[in-house]
Amino acid sequence: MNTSPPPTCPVCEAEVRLSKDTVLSELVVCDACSSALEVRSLDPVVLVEAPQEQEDWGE
Amino acid sequence: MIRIGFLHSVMRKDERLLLEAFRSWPDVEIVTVDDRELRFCLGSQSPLYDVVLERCINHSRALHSLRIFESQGVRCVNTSQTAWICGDKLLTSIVLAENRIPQPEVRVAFTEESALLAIEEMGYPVVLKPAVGSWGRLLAKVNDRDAAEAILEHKTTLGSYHHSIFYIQKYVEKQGRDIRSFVVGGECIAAIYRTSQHWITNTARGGTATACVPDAELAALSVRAARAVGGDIVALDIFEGTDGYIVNEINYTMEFKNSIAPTGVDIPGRIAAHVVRVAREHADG
Repeated sequence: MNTSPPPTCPVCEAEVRLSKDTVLSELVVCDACSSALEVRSLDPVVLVEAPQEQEDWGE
Repeated sequence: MIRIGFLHSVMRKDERLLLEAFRSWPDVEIVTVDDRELRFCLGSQSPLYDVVLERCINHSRALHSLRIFESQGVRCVNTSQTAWICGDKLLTSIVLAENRIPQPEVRVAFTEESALLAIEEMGYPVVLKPAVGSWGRLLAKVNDRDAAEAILEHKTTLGSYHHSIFYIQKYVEKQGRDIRSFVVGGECIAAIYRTSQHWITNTARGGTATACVPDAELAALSVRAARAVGGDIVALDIFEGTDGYIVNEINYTMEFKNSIAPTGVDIPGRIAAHVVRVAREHADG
């Protein structure tokens, strides 16, 4: 049984609920502050602020 | 077992949907490759994958990674050649012109003065676009000479050098919508209308997606343009001109999450099937 504390938002420190099928590098949004976050580690879960848009981003 | 390298940056919903789609193939191993962790040693690595599917957000990382993977003998989807052409609106327009594929009038200039002359020769309004960029960023609709002078000066003074490669497109009145068509493996599999009250209709900028059943002309033009840029998997932005369809842009790392529901087409499933087919062909030599 996983007893590690639930992950928190690095911006507002609210708890962030992740779905069971969350994958590494996935983008998620904090329900509390709407910050875009990235899952940088799954075990343990580490959330960081998502990278800022750059000039060559796109399709 | 077929081994597919899934080259990505952050995992958006599009990438999640693709990963789910690949699970339908029991004989396919997906290896996720984060472009932020890549370290290439040129000339020294044997192929690790049968195919690399490129899903990067950064054009520069995608282009250079693909070229390196190809130098290792890996078949890439899309190829670095396609990324090179489609990642640059100017190069795309050159290829479209060479293949006589209809597009809006485009002029190119390299100084403020020559760009202003080009714009005046075209007549207003025109659209100034950065050659490299996406999601409707930094597009400028120029309605008169005052605006043209101001924008050209700003781009020259504040932008890096490639903002002084002036890509000038004649403004096409879209009546509030354009079309995005999806080509996978030489087939036009779906299309949507993108509707917005703003002249920029990108869904990334708030445009809404509704179903568009591609007619024969739209499908044929989409496939022809995709072939011109060598695209395995591309999405085309198309205007409905008074004399027929006009290709505006071609995207080589297409986003599709908002287009599945309106079209009813399993776009990630079609992409995955094509990539597996290419991988099998490549593995068979």
